[in-house]
Amino acid sequence: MIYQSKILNETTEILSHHSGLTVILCQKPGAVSNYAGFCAKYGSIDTRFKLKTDDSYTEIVDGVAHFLEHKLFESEQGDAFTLFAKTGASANAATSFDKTNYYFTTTRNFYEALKILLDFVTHPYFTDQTIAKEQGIIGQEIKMYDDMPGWRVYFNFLGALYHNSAVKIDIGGSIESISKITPVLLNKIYSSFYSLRNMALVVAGDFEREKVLSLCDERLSYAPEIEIVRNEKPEPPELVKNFVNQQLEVVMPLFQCGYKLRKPTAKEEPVYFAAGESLCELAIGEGSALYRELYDSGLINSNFGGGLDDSRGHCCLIFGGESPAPETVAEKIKAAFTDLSKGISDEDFSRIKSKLCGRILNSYNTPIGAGRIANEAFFSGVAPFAHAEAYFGLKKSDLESMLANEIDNGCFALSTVTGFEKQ
Amino acid sequence: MPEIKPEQIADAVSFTAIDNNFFKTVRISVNFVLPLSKATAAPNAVLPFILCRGKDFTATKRRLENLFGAQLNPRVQKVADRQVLSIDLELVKSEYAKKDLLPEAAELLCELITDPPASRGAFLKKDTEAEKQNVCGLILAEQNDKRTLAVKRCTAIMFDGEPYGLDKYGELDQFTALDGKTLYKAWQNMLKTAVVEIIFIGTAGAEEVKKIFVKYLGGKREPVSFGAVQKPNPCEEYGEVEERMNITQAKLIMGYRTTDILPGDLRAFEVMRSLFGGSTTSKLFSNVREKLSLCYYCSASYNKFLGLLMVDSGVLEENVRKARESIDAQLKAIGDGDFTDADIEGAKLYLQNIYRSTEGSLQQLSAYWLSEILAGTMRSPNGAADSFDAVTRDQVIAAAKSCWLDTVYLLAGQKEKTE
Repeated sequence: MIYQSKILNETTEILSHHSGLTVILCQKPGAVSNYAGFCAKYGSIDTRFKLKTDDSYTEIVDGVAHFLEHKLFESEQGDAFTLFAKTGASANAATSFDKTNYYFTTTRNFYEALKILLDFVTHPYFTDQTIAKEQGIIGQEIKMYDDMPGWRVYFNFLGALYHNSAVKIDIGGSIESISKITPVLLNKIYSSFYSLRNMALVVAGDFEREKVLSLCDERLSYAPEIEIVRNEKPEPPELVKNFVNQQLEVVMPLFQCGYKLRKPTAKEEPVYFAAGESLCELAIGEGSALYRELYDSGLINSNFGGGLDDSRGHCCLIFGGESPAPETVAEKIKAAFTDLSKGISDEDFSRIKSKLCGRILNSYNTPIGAGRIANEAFFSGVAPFAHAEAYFGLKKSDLESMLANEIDNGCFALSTVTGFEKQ
Repeated sequence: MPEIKPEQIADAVSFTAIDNNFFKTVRISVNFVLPLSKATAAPNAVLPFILCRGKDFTATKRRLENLFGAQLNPRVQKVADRQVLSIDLELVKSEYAKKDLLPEAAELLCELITDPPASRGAFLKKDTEAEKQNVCGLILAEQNDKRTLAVKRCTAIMFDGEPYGLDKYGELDQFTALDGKTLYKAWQNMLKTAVVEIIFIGTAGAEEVKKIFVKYLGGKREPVSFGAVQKPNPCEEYGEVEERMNITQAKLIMGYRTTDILPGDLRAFEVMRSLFGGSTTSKLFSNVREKLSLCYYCSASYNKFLGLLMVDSGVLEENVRKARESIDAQLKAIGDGDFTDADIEGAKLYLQNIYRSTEGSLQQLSAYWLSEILAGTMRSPNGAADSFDAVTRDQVIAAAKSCWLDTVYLLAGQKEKTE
């Protein structure tokens, strides 16, 4: 099916390849660099699952999705990076809460690189030896994140919000959890979540549609129907706690604070997200009275930022940066949301709408931007331009209704990272 | 594609127009280039931020928001012995905004730069205090990130007593003494003496934007001139510095110097850098990370202005010795010609893709051209990419051999106390 957005001047086609894979094509004529992403709907929050044919659930130790991402680059013949090097393409992969994306961008040899992408992701190779090697590398990645206060303050915030959702667990897992990974476990997970029926290929840029599809015909085998049952425990609306602090080697405290929100349905999502982002801008965007008050009194600096954060396993409004007094900042943000419920002026609404529409247009500036948005929307079960176009059609009443029904000061938490207390 | 050339529009003010119709936004980047010195670094660093406030902080932000969310971004960078104060403005193209925002935005940008609120030769106290606090906050935020901190510490040690050894924002203790008067003087000095580089990327409106800048910056000036950066002298000995903090992973930085430095032909050095520690098939990635499994990141960056090659890595402290030896061995291996023709081809393709890709991002394209202007090279990204084809194996070997180890810096965790 072809989707066109006149507002954005963008076109995306979504089709089902006969192998079972969904192919998403975002045409951007004149692009100098093309993007391709081969993405599995499987991330760090998928910690318990079974296939319809299985009797019992498989428990997945923390960090496996990310570990598998690292390992997939290897084959019996060597690693995929060496193959990509022959094309000049810049390749990488990323594991998030709800997906694992293997991607490259390139200015030349696009179809050669696409072949490599389709091949290496569909040919796993796991041995005890290569797993042991990766445990050392990922162990250092985990330690790197342990020293990053910005990473810790975010995960601690999610930990204060979520009882059951595995978003609160570090995507990389722990050194202890990854030591339990075996080839058998990786194969079991791979054969389930990396079924082409649980994946999408996104191509964005200036490319020939037929060539992409014929490469899919050539490289991909038919995948039988599969039904993955993910055992996600329902998440209660309440917080776990409203404050969490960790001491690390920092010279200025860091903080993240915000509201736990209900996870909207796919149908609600575009307007829900646009309204949520707009409320953040109204309350504490650069043009708000509070931003100036906090900035001028040195309680925040220009690194401060915020917005709506979500995945398949969570949805929240989050604000953060560095501050000498995070508690004061958090209290004032909460008060600003309370003030918004007294009424939003037409002038403020139209200013914020103008700002966010500009930001959305900006996010379509590159093939990688357009491609990722399309992928995100597909996995959420939303049409490709629905999120972006929701900003252009947003009404003040959408904000008012979100404020009245979705935002609760009882669901506001603060996470801080402060320096070690001097003994 | 027509040749891109900075056009002198006033005394030491040049305007570089890059015609590009691909993006949904256009960008104007204004860069004031000044000498980086201990006395002026801190007051200068506050300027881009204080100027972006305009007459009224909130009114300015709201005006930008109403211009389809035009983004105004104040920044400070250091390039060799220079401090670059930048204000970038990015805004939606007229076909999407349904009206031409460019003239108003360019006027606003010029007003912010040339007409800040002031009284009796001083910036207003509240503006001064707020922006001093902000820059101090940015300095502290960089110290919070230990990987960034380790690179900064190693740079400061390697370039001790030289401009590049200074923090781009100046030192924290210099901010207490700053007041509205000192900042106002720094601003006057910036307008009078800085070399000004304006970069415009868009498809229409370049002439109009240029005229607006001529109107505001066209007066008589006394621009500063920059000499060539001094070439470092090769040295047999290297320094070792170890610092300790309460962290879990050691950050190992190895700083090498080379006499390969602007304005020479640096293509071979770039290929060597990419082969050494640039890509995911580089010597550092495939040996220190993949073969020895010592780290997650281990890569090399290169500063063409200074001839500085810096390896940045995070390892367990007990593995530091092994990592150091391996890093050094990889550079030596390149000097000994221990690499295949396919390795060089891969390194060249990697670089060529990076150079050509800059045309695909407004920010990267803008940064690319500023760097070319400051280097005086003015190669197009595609021209630069093509030029790597001519680099030979012998040139790569010579580039590796030209490097010497200058400093090994280690930021590690606290040692257990033994009593």
